[in-house]
Amino acid sequence: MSRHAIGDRRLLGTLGVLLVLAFALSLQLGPVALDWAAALAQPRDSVHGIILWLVRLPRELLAICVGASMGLAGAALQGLLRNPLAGPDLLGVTSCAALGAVLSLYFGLAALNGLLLPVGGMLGAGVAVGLVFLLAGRSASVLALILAGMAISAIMSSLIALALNFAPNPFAMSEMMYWLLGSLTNRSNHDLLVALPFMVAGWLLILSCGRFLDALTLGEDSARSLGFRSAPLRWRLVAGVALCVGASVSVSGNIGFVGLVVPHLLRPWVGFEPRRLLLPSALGGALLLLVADMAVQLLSPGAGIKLGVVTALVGGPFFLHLIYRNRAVLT
Amino acid sequence: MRKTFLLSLIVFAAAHCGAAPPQRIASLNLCTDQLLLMLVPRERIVSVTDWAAKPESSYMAAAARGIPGNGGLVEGVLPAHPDLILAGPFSDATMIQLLRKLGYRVEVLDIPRSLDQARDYILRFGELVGAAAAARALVADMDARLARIPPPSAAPPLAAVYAPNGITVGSGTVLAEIVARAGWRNLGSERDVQGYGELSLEHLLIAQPQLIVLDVTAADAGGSLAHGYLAHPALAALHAQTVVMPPPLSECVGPMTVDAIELLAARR
Repeated sequence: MSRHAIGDRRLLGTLGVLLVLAFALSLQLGPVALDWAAALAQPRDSVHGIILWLVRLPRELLAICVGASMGLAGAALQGLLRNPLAGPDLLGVTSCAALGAVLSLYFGLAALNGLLLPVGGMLGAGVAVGLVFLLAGRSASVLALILAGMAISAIMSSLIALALNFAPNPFAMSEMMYWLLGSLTNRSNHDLLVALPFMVAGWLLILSCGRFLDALTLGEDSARSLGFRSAPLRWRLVAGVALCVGASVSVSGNIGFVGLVVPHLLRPWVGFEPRRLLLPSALGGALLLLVADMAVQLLSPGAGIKLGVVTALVGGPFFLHLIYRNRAVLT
Repeated sequence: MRKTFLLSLIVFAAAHCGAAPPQRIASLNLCTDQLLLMLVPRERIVSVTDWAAKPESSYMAAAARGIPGNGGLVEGVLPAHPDLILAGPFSDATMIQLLRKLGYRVEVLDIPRSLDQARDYILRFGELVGAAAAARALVADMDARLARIPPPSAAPPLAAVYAPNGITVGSGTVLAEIVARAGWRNLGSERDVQGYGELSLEHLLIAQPQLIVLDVTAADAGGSLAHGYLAHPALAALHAQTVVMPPPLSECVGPMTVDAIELLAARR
């Protein structure tokens, strides 16, 4: 067994243990004190069982899955674009996914079939990743890509506002913040079930491209000379990101910065190899979002603070730090 | 010149018919619309709001059909030259000023917030629109129906009102009064909610109400996250009775309030 493999296992093990601990702790958090004995003995017939299995468990599992999707998508995009400032939110992918979900939810599609909600999100995400990818394909600079992402984000946010304005439901406009900042309040096992299959498919697609991402660090031509058929693998990554980010956003809104921050924090631990970064980023993203959601619940037990506020407060300064560190590349 | 003369004639006429019962009444508020339709023959109503004829918002939708809707706008009110315009506390103040400046008689009526207030309000309203006898009969009918509601038991069962966005109601709301008069304890009142307030799903579940009253404002107007609160699977798992409170029964206070009380009392 190589030194790398041992190091990776240690990293994954540590993240896994932290995740399990955070998960157990998160189930304990909530507006009411949970009677665990009753909840476990009578999962369906006691009110404590209902709270544990139908309110808290779906929410925390969703935090884990959404966080994993964002972390994984961030690591994949940073590897694919060889751009340290890439992330699903910074490239406009999450905003575009949110627009797709908004159109599906408020204009009756999601009511026809619950699956059309994540489908809307994934179509939106697909459009945005495709756009970014086409821009990057013309060897855009780091800066050009980020600026293009900002423009896409701004356009999508306006279109979300526009769509909510025209939505027939009188509550639509007040839900703007949810779509721009994200939240896991009042999510149920239904949301988890409609989104999870697509997330898993996206994870598998991304994870299957690990070696290609490693080869890409040497440059496009080197990857080709190593025998990778570049175009289909790139599109596989694009599809993977669209699936897991689109499905995530459609059930949790636009939660920013997780996809940017997590791969950066973990990169030094995996020797700067994109493939080895993928799995730790998924676990790290899950851990970060779970902790952020716990912070939200502790700070405002009601609906109050949006999850994206917490992740942006952590991620925003980090992004500024990255820009400062990369200022030589950016100018 | 002639136009000005005609206009001043109308203004003069409008200003001097206070003594006789108004014959061309317009209403700018859904609650005054409905009371007007209950008390006054439709020949004397020239326009109501567009909400009045919609069954999803109005208790008097059938009676309002065929009466022109004014859209709550000056342009909608003026063509029929009303001799009395009824407005609510939330009607546009500049519009009311404009109507008065044009010489129209505008009465701004406060909206009752409880059944006790509604009694006085209906009687006063009846005098205003020249239907005092009808108003007295309406109040007597309401009181007779209220008297038939069985009194609360010694230990009333618990009910929770749940509205989009996880909102519940407490003291000072007509919904809380409806729940109490129907013989239920109201979870919002017991949790010291003033008016409308947030109720977390977990707090709702842990209280284990026997009845969940779903306030479904605009539920049929496409999806929203707000309405997602009412469809959470945990609510169904509680096996409490659920009853949908139709918006026409809870948006204004009056005879419809008695309907709402009867609806909830029947679930005891």
